[in-house]
Amino acid sequence: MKVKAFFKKIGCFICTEAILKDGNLSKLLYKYFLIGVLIRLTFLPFFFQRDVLSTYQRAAQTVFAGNLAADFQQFVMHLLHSAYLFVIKFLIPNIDQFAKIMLTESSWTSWIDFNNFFYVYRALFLFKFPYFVLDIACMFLILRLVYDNEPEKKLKIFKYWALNPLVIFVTYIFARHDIVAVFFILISLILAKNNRKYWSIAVLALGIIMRFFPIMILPFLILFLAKRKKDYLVLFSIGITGLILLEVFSYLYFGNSVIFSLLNTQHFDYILSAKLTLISHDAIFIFIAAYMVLLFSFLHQKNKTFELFLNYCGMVYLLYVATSYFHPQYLLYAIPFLAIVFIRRNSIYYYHIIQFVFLMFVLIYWGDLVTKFLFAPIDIKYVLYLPGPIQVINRFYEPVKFVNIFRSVFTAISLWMIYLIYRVNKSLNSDLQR
Amino acid sequence: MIIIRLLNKLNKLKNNVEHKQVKVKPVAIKAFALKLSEAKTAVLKPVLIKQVAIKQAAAKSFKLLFLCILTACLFMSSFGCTRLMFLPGISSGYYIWKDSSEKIHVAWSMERNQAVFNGWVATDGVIAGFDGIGFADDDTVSLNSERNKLEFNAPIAQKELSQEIVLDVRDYSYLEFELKINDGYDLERTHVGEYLANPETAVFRIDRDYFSTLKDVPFYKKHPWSAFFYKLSADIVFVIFFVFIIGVIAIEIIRITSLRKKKNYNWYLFLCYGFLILVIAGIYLFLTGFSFV
Repeated sequence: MKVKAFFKKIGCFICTEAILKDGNLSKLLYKYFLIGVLIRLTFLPFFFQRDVLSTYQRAAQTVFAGNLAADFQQFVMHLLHSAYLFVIKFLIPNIDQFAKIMLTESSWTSWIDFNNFFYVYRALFLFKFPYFVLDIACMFLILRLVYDNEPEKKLKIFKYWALNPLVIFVTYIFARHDIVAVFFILISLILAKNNRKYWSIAVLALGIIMRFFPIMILPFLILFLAKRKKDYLVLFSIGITGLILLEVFSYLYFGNSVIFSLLNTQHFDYILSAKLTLISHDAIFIFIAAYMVLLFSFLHQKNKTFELFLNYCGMVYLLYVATSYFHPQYLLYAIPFLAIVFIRRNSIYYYHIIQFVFLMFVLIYWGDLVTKFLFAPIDIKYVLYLPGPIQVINRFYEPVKFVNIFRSVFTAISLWMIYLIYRVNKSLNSDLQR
Repeated sequence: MIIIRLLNKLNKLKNNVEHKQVKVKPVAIKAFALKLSEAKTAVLKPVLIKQVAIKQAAAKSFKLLFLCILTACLFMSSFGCTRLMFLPGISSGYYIWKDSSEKIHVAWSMERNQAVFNGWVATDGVIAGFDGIGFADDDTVSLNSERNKLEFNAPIAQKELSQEIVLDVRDYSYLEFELKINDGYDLERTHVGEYLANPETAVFRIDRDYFSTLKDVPFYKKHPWSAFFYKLSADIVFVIFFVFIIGVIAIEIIRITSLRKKKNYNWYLFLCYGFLILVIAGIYLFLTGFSFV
């Protein structure tokens, strides 16, 4: 009996008591979980985008060559990868050859050698395995965000995450590590929901130094959590503590500023990519202007409920991909918030699926590296000489125009989704007033 | 609301009859129940129709998606494994194949980019005739006086799609080629009979039977499968571990969806695991017993 109670406790901890109590719901949850895991595992060893190799190459610089400063801009993420590579190197046969490939400076040569490496599938499986673990953790964390007394809705959210094509594509085919930051965002949100305001902000600060993207929701989280005037200052200070510590460490240890080097990277320019040029030097950065409008809108909400806050976070990330140059993995940050709002308004889910389809077209113009080269581990020679999508389109039409037509529709879908979420917010507010 | 009201009325009526408080003819209850079912249908019909339509649409889109993936897979495998697919303006390099009327085609393209293609084709037989397709005025093709060597020099301009020579070769035992791109050799872009069936030397020779023997090469020795299986065979421990994990999850899905309520549950489960062991053994034998080079 004690054993049974123990396992029941674990079950409650993992998939919430409300779902575990209902036999049918728990069976459905188990089914979705298994299907989700099966799809994820199938993709795990066979596909990757060049960036994941770069991430582990920088980690290899630390592990095999003792160079800690291989990636000072994402230092904490780099440390995580380095520590993990240190552990898994014992599981990769022919480690000398592996180390040689990883330490090759030419990115093109190392990419070809890695794809031709005998144990490439094992290496990719191990590379992506931590993302898989965190993704599974996110799957269960998202259950705890909203709909506490409605297990059916919780289950739906679980399904939307477990079978989400974008989560699967970004984490397992594209193989980007943004899921780490999403994991921290979700923990931070759960803490926020349970009124652990300082812990919540602290965890988000940790997420920010991992990947910087969670910073977009920091002002919203502060507005949601702050109850008194001094809270704004305290929470803001905690929120940026991580960045300041990283900046100080980087300055003292590497002699470089993280913040200024980041501000000068092309990634920061993505945010400023869409602008309205006025006269002379004068220009309006669309994302920044629209972001501020969203922030003011949230500021003036009378009842800043948790669900309302989540919806605003979703709107922010959608706004980013709608108005700025972005990489596909950046859309991942919107998914936890969208999965929740799908329950309120099912049509948003269908728009999200269309959004994903259009993203596949938008991807085309980023070149072979993010299209046909994703399949290079299968047979690099086959992929190298295969005509890429740009060549195929170029045969019939100008690829830039072709892709940008899809990009425009993608933006329209994202903006429309923002509007639909705004409508959900309105109905949430009117429900509260009743 | 209508249904709930009618249901309440019906329950009241039934209770009254059961407790003999009211005398009601069974016909009346029947009529009332009929009315209720009609009302139910009237209210629920549009909802049900909508739900069924959504389910059907979802099933259709899944089928469509599955078909698309299947077609893409077939297209990809046909691309590389079974026949040569030359796409003017999209493909890059030389493509050589023999058509059903035994004519030899030598075609080239460079993704609509500028490039110079030149070289020669020689044989121990006779080149009875040839056709140049897509040749411009400044392109040259010449056949020697013995009619056994054809030389060409054909620069492809920007945006130009492709060029092709169709040779009618008779009484030959071999064909010899020297094909250059931009005055150099790019053997990886010279596909003879099949995609990525590349020559090993700059001047290469193929037998008369070359194209027919190429068809006899098993699929696992052709790209992309050859490289895929080769790497899998190099890491057999990982492959077995991976297939086992995937298999166990797949069996678990089958168990909770269709086996759970079966009479011979344990027997079916045993069968599933037996099948998985067979699959793993099959994969092991395939990867260790065959050569993929």
